[in-house]
Amino acid sequence: MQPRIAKIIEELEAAGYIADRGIATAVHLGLAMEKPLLVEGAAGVGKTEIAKAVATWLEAELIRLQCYEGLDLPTALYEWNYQKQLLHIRLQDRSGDAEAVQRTIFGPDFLLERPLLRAIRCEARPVLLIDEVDRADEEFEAFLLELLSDFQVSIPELGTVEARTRPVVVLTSNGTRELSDALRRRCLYLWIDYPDAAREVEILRRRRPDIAASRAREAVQLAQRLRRERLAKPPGVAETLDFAAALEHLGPGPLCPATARDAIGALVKDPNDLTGLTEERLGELLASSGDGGS
Amino acid sequence: MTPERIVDLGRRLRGEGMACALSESTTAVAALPHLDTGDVEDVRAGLRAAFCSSAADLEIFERCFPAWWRGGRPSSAVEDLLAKAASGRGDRPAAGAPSGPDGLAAARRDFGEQAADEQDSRERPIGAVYSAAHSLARRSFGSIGDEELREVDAWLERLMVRLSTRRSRRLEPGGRHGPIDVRRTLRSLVAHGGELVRLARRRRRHVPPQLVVLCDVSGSMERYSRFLLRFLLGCGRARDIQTFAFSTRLTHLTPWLAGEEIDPALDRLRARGWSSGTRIGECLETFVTRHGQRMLGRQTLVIILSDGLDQGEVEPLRRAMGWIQRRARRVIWLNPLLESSRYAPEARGMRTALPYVDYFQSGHSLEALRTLPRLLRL
Repeated sequence: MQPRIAKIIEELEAAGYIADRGIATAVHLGLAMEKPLLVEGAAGVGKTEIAKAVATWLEAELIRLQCYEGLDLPTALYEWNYQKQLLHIRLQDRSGDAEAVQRTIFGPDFLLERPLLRAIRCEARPVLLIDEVDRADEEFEAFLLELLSDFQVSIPELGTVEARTRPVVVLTSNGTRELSDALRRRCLYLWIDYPDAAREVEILRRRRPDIAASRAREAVQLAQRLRRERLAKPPGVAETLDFAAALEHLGPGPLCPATARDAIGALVKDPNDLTGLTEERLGELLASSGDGGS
Repeated sequence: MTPERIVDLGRRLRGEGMACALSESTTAVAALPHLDTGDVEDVRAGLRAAFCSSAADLEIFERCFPAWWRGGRPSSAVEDLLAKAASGRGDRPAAGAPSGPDGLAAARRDFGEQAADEQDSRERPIGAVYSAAHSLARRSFGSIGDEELREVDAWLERLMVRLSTRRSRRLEPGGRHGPIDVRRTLRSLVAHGGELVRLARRRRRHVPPQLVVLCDVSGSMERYSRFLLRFLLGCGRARDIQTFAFSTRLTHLTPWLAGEEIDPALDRLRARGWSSGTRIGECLETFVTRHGQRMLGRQTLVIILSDGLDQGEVEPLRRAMGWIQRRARRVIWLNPLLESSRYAPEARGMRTALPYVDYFQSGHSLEALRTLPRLLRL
């Protein structure tokens, strides 16, 4: 193994993220080759967490841009501080020189920087997390493409702003929409699957040290077993965490079907999935995970 | 590891259907110095990140990688099978196993599909299914009265109104009631020496939908053709809708239907002889190669009207459907045979196409088509 990759696994673990080798390799290449990392995977497998862990490890600022349909440049890139501009215009009322006013109010003092501009103007190399990029529309994606290739933006009133350092870019996608080939091409690709039982227990133990090891194992076994069922919304790691915490609140003792059913709302969040998971069925699942699981 | 080896891997991946180009190979070569090229897991994870660009690619990569890693010999079908069998026994390295979709499951699925295909070619009851289609047709849209046709037209008008009112969440300048566009207001304020003359506003933008309709007009569908053509022509009235007819070949209907009344158009098109068998796969592939690049985009809805009884090859159909699904926003397949509760999509063509279809509906009657506008509201 490349020593650097082993180091990344260690560093990310210190930052609270249990990475497997595929994840560490992708992060390593993303950093070394200065390429954006496109992370895909089911909901709740920890796509966003990667960016956070990398930022913690590198002691870099994490700049997050949450995408949604209709996300536009004033929200993503920059906007003028209109209130301040207005105030300025009012104060300058008497002088009457519109040109001079215009020059002043479209200067750097009146500029509000939004995540993307902030990432570009950052002094130290930041981690830029573009979360759920599939939710943004194509216009935004096209703009992003341009930004990710040059790391510079032009503001008509001010001129071109160029990145001082290339940000570490992590994009996440839930696949609600197919991303353009051009964007995919520009990125390194990382698919994150649900962690295996051992890794998931480790993640639980690290996030919630207060939860007993046996409790964590029980919660993970049921979650892993449920993922093999055909559920509309299989539980993610976050759900397993909630579930283990819920069990903790429901009192001590080993996990029984009745308790599991009481806390199942933390794990399964789809009404159709829930109807199939009777106490009996949960009992079967628990029994089978006890035999063959982990 | 030489660039030639990387190029070889790229070639193999392309051969298996991955859409990777020179840029991926370049990325992979650039990644090599950062990897321990003696370590299979390093190379596997690194090249996976470089070559793959979607979840579907991962499966292809995992399938090709072992054979490529083992040696420079070009992969043969036998070797691929051996590789699949090996992964089926769980021979893949356990430590730090890759996190992509399981190769084992993929191999099993492949084998399952092969077995199913063989079985299918043995006991495909073409005659039986075709006659079933006829009896179904007699029961439903065998003949449509004038009264009903008028209702169809009225319904289609409504459909088109709803189709053309899909509004994006993206705002554009304009309108009189939307949120105030401070940016533009301020700009105009400067121009007027600080006086507020007019509030600029923003409104939600209308996105004209793009619709591609592919309509089966072959023998088994002839009973429905009159009704289906109504549908096509109704569609043609809205903007940006492309219509095609196919049987053994593909006809681009849109130019034929421009400014034409329904009945003369129907007669002229029927004269072209469209009712002689079905080659869905080849027709769809023709569509993809001739028109796909231009007509399919992420705002495009594709509606295919067909019973899926295909006399052509399966592979072109699979390729074409895969391509269409990747490009289009939604793929809707209307199959009049679905009307019967006894019908299951067993026909080879239908079964091949189904995995690539987002909505599978009957569309055999007005009532059945009534759910369509809701589907089309994205």
